[in-house]
Amino acid sequence: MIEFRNVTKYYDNGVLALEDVSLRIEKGEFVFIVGPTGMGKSTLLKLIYREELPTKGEVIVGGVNVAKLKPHQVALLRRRLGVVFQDFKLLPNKTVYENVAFALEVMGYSNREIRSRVGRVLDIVGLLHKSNCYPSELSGGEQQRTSIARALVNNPAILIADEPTGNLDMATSWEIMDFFKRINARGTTIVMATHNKEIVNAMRQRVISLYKGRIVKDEYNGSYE
Amino acid sequence: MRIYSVAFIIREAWKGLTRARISTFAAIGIIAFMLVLLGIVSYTFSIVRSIFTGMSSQLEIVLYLKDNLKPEDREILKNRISGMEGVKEVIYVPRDVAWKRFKETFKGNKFVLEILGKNPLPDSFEIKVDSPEYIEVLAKTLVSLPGVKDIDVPLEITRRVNRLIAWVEFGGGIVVLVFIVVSLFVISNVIRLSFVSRIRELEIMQLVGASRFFIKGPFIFEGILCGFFGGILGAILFNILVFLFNKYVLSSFPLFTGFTPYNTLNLSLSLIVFGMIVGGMGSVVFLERHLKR
Repeated sequence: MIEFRNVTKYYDNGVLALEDVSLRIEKGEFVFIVGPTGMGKSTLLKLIYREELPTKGEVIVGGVNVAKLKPHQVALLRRRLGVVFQDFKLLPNKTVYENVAFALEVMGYSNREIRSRVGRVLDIVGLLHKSNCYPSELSGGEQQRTSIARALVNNPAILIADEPTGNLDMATSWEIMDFFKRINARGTTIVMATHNKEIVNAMRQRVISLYKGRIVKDEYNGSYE
Repeated sequence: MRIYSVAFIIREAWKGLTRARISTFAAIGIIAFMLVLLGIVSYTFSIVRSIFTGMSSQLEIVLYLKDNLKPEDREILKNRISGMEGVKEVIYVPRDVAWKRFKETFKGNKFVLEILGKNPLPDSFEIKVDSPEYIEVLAKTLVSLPGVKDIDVPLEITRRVNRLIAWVEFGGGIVVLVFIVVSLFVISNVIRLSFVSRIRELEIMQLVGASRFFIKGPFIFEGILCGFFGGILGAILFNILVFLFNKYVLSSFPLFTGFTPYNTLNLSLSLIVFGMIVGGMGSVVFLERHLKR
């Protein structure tokens, strides 16, 4: 599903973010990317959804080399991915419903299709009753659930989460993780960057540890010390 | 699917326009202001130009005819001159009429009339031209025609007027051009700045896999709408100003009496279209700067 072949990434300012990283993530896996801040976790995720391009090496997602995609193909790639962030990235002037519907509108879905899909996904994340609320009227956990709903509304094959619990308290974080587990059980591949040890250790999933841009550990049923 | 797409773009553009009312009003206001300025500059330019051309249309060539010229030859000559390029009108002035005019002019001056005694004037043609730049060339051809005794050409003044008109057109053209460039810059920047608060929106659109068409469409359309409303407002203000100017200023100057008020419809439409184009350009500049990939 996702493959890194000897990927090195330097940013324009000369900072080395990843060095000679190779990894494979199969369909349906649940993978944690862990490590202290600034060790390349976000860069690794950005390379998957092609926010960044590798300086050396290849990134293959769903069988295609992302560096070779044309702009309209990048859009198509992104539609097969759902991305969730620490800061939610919701549009403040749109309601919960509109924020989720937005992802489908830009793909040109019909209104009827949008209504039914958005309704379904908001039901899954338990926010149907808050459809008409604006992000500022929601708790952090609810905002994150909205952004997850937006990430999932197009049934993506892969869910990428960059510190999704970074701004949430522990109870809410568990709620989100519970949710991820259920999505994963339905077959969605999940790649999540985090430095929350408690969560990683409790989930017993594959854990890839990054340190100074290199993979220092890759264990199934792993933990984060 | 396409209908939904177009509807989406229109809806998003409208939402964007009506959401941040103050910044939208500010943008429209600034666009209108720039367009009014541009309109005034163009209008002034066209007034000045038409004053000078009006002035130069007073210039005429006087062609004195030989005394023995037969009326039928005179007619042939007249037709020949009328057919020349740049000739607007040829008026035959018989010597009696010329003498009458002369006496009228020197009515108070008995001395001049006594010296001259009887009518010394020949028959003549008064030739009006389309534009003063023809005068010099025409004069050369006319003087060598059969039946022509002498020619009176306001050469020096023609040259001066021509030079003046050239300068007015050159200078005015530059001023108008500068204003076009300045308003291009100001308007496109106003649009771009009014979008800065929406970089996040752009980012999210890209993230959820919106095609470029979907990302750009609403922004460009909104920029064009903004330019359109600015253009309408600007055109209205401009026309009010022109109306007041014509009514209170233009009419009180006898210099302008021959001046027919310039038609502002075309200029107004140009201002609106200009606003729309530049508004769209501002959006494109914004998108080029902030769209990754």
